[in-house]
Amino acid sequence: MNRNHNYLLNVVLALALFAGCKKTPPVTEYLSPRVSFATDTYMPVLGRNLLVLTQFSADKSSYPLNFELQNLRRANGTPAPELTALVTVKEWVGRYTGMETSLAEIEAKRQEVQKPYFTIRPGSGDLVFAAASSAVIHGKPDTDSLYLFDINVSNNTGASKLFANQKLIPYKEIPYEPFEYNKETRKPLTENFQTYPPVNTTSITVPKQVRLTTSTNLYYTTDSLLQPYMAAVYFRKTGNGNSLTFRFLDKDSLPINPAKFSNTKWNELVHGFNMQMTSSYVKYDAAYPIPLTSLATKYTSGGQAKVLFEYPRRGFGNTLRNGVFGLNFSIYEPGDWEVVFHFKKNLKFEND
Amino acid sequence: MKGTIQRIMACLFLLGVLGLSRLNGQTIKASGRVIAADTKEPLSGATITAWKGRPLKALITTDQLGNFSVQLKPGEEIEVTYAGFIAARKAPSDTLLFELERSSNDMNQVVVVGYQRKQKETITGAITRITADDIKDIPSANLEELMQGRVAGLNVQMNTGAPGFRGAATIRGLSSIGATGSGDNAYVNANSPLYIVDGVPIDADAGFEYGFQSIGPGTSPLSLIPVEDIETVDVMLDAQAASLYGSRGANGVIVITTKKGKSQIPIITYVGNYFVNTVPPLRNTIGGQEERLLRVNTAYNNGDYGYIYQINKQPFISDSLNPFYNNATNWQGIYYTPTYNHSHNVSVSGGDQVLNYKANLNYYSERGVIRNTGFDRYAATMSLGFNPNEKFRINAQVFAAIGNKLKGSGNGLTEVGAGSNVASSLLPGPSFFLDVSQFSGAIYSTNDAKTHNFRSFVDASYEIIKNVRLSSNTSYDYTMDSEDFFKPAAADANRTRLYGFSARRSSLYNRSQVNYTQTYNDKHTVYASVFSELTVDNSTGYVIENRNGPNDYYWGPFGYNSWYSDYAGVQYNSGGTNEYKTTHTIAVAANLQYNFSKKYVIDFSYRQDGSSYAGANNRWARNPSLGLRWNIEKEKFMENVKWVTAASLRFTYGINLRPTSNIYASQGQFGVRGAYNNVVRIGPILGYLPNPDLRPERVETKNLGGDFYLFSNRVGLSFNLYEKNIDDLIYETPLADATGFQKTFSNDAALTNRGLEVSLTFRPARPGKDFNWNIYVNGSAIKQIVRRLPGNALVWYSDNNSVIARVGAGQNNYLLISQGVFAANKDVPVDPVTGLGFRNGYTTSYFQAGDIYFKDVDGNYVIDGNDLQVGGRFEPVFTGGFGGMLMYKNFNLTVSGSLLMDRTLRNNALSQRLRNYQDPLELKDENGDGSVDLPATFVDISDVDYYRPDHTNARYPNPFLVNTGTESLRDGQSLFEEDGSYIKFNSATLGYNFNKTWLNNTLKLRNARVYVTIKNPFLISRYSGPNPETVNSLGRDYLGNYPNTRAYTIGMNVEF
Repeated sequence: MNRNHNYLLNVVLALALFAGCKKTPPVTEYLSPRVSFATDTYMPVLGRNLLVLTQFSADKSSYPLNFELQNLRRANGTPAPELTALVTVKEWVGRYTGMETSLAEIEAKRQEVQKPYFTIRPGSGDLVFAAASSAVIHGKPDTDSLYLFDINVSNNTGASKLFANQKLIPYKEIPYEPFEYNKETRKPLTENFQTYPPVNTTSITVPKQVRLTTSTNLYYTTDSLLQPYMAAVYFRKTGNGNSLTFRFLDKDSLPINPAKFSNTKWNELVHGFNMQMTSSYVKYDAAYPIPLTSLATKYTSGGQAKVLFEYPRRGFGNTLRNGVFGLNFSIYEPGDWEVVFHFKKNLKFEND
Repeated sequence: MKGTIQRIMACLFLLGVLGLSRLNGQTIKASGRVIAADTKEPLSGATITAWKGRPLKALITTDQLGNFSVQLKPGEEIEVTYAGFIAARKAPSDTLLFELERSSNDMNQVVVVGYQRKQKETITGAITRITADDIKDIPSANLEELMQGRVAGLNVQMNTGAPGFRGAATIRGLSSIGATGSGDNAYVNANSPLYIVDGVPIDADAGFEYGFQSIGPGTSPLSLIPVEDIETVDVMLDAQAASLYGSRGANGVIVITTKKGKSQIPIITYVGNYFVNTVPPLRNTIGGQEERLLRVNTAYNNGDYGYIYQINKQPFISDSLNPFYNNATNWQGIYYTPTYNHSHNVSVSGGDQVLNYKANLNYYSERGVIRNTGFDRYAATMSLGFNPNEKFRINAQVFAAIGNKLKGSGNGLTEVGAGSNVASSLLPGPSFFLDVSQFSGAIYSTNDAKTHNFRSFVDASYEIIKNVRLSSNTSYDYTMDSEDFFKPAAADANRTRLYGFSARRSSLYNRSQVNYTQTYNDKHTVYASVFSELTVDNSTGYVIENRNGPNDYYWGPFGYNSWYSDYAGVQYNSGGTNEYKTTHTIAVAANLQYNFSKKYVIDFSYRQDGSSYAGANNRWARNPSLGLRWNIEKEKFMENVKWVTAASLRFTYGINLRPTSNIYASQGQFGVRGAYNNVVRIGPILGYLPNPDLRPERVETKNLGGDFYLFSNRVGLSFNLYEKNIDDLIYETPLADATGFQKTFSNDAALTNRGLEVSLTFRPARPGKDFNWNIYVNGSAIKQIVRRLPGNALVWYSDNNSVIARVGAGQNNYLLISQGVFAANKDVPVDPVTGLGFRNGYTTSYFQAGDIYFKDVDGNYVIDGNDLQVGGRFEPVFTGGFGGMLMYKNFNLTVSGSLLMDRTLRNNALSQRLRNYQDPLELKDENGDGSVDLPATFVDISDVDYYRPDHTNARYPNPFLVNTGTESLRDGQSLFEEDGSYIKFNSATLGYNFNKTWLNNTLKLRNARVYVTIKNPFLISRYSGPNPETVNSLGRDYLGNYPNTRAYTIGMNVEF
């Protein structure tokens, strides 16, 4: 009997051991094998603080993920220490609203930091470029600027994926936009326009210049509207301060008194302060770059600064002809900049 | 149908005549009395059985004074059994006195397992029994409600209080992955157990869907069974117990046995309940002028010019001089009302050793606390048992019931008008066209939703040679569902809506069985049986929906209008599949049990199921199982261990295969595909590619259990440790376009449920004549681990990424992590590179003071889908129950409760309440129906700790930040996750039993009892919402959930 009971106990124990527990897999964070970046080539412009959204497609991988730049090198395979050399840049610590009332208030929201030219946001995989100079970083077109690097994506449970041989092609600084030179070669460009009034040739080819973004009711005779090629805008850097000056020239390159643009909202023209208006220019203290952020404010349009100058006159047939011209632009390099509007026909300010 | 009954009756009569003629021979008369050993009270209803080496057959039960008188054959002895007492056996004489010892040890109970009656001490599977006494005194239209907290491992959540609707019952955890549906309508498949009522399997899910879009009356067959007529409910948890029930038993089996006639003198029992459903505390709302000012001020304080201008376009706000808009309507007060309800049950039963009969009539009527909701049941049961001699037995039953449901505005499960979208107090507007459609829809809709159920069976057995018994059980179950619904024009965009539904289901079932039982040398008992099972199921249904009738008084018929009407007389679809089907299943099964002196028990069973809906290449599902049991107390070395009354260990292993119930998954679907050359084409429907190799889902269960009864049965302990491995779960797999199909089905997921179930019973005081006290506590802890996901993925998202299943872990909420509220604008992080603020998506929705600080997991200063993280578990880890009975003289007090621990709820109701404030002008379309929402009421939020400029250290964000896109109040964030643990008292009953002798002498009654019951007396929880149980299966609390109400009952139970 006793033997029997021992036997049964053994059977039960053996069965329990044999049946055991089903092995269950450990919890593993998911990193999809199909994760991808939108592109493998990045072409940032030097001299700007840039955030490049890499549009990483996580394919339902579980966050947090870790992104790491690896193996930064030149095209020939040699290391590229300049990409990680520290650059002094201004970073935002407060949120820019467009409502700041002084330069000091804006500057209080920024602070100077030292950081490498090229970094990656460790959590999101977006690339961050500091405003470094082409003196340090190879920039197109001066030098062959191809750099190579790898991005390693990993998660906390050890899965990883390497995106090798990503290309970085920095461009030499473009201090302002619109830019009238070829970005690739920095050679002058040309552009075509319909001639006005029409003569034998219907179009003309002229060297590319910055043209007005807005041009409404600008008459140079009673019935002749200013054509796009009849005005150009020049960007000039005159010093290393923090100012922005607007000048207006007539066809003889003589200054037009800004006061003539009497309907202009001078206070909302740019996010600048301490406006000085003389007979030949309007000058503001301004923080660079312009615009400061991509935030939509009353000074911006489509991510660029927006200026509009207006003057009223009575046109032919006693109609109100409100002349408006304007420019959407960006200036990335700090300094004392002048924006010069050059009219190659003399604008008609008198009433008809 | 009538013919069938007549035939059955004719057969019965014939058999009766045959049987009676054989009742003769020499007999011995035996008579005596049965009393309880401790109280010396007579035991009425104790079963007297003839015994000769084994129990031969039940002869009679004792009368109200405990007396009996029977005829025996020479050599037979008398055995007396009575539930809750230890059986006794004596040789026949005229002056027998049985003094039965009370027992909390249920080892001598007879349990029906795999359609065979077995003594509990020889059962290897994990089975828990609920008896009629456990569930009496509480009026309910739902048996599952009464089982809540009674069985460790059976998790019942009453997630709706709507009369006639079901909660969710699961045995040993979920057996599927992911949520079905999305948003408010998302749910997890509850995998209902199989119910066997008096040997007939019924599908509790038939006519009922877990989603919210229940088509037709949606009354479960379970709701049609009168609770008063139930004698025992056996819950079978593991594969060994369930394996003989085949594929449908994979989710566990619940066997219901109804009462039978036992007394020679007919007993007429009446049970009547009168109960009041009370209105739960309603939400405080802001009304009238105060609401108008709040709306206007909120818009003024936050809006830009364009937003403020919109005030003028909202007449219910701006037109304050219009007397029709100068309302302060308390809509909730109109919807909610206490209701007075009643139920009556009369049963007549009687019988002796030859013939027993029972007739039970039941009427149950309940109105929900929300107007125009309710449930009525009319049920009649007739059963007849005829045992002319030891060899032949026949039982027959006819059951007919009508369930009539009022569904309010539509589905009844959630009351949209009364809950989630109570209209603004400034409404109703001045004209018919500005009617509050939700209100009219809920109150003035006319709804007639009926379920007719007819079920009958004949069960006959014959012992052809000694110890070999043949039996056959044939049943037919027919259900007809119909719904007629009329919605007045005011409720539905000025178009009347007429909806008709008609469906029928039938199930023909036969089981034929051969049993063999033999005991050799009083030690070796062999039990063997083989049976075959055959089922034919049919179902079909049609719906018609017409709109745009001429007026509210003409309800049809009118013609089908292709512009307004949705469909006319077409077969309906449920869950994407057509309900028109005929399925056949056939099964053969065998069971072999051997026991040695009831000390060692070994059990083998095997069942093979073939079904017409299984994959063509995988027709058969095979269900083997093995069980072992060791009754330790019968060992010699235990003889001196007096404090152990009974002790046993059990081990079982079994596999249940569960074929998909979706016939189209394996067979495909063909349909009319237009005409070609004027010839109608029949072609495959391309949505789903059938998979003929589809395997059934495989459920493997290992169970180690034990039952211990200690200190003269005063302590009982039972435990089960199990592992349930579910493999080959069927999931949809998307297909490449080139195949021509969109999806197919594959066996692509696996999960494991591990758990421990413990049940304890105590008798703190020694059982006595005047005082008895017992307590039960049970609990079940469960851990669910996903082992494999479709396509070998590691994660699986459902419900728009709000639910995540992870390999190696279970299923969780997937949401944003809230890190508190921004006290000031300067606290909001700024992207150092771009200078832009923390924002919601790549938009201009910047966060500000009073917004919530979501965890920016990827560190890009933008809150989007990448920042979602794994949140809490919506499946409870621990569920249990407790209760007890205290008897003092003629009074008794019964309490039962249930509890749940470690479950995370999402308080979406609070999110919704706060969010309503963000839309003071009612310009948004939160419900996503394409048109601006009807102005919703402002529920008072003064009890909520929300951000105000003078209270910046708040838990919840500022609800008055309108016109922003930060979605700080979205429900998919950890801020609205709360601990859903609760301890709930299900019911408390105080009863009084009248003295039997006095009753007999004065009123000529056998028995009488009066009682008062409180259902849902109270609930203890830290959850901030109204009720942590009234949430959906994903643990989300919505404003529209139908409340579980408190009910007060006065009832009586009289036996004539």
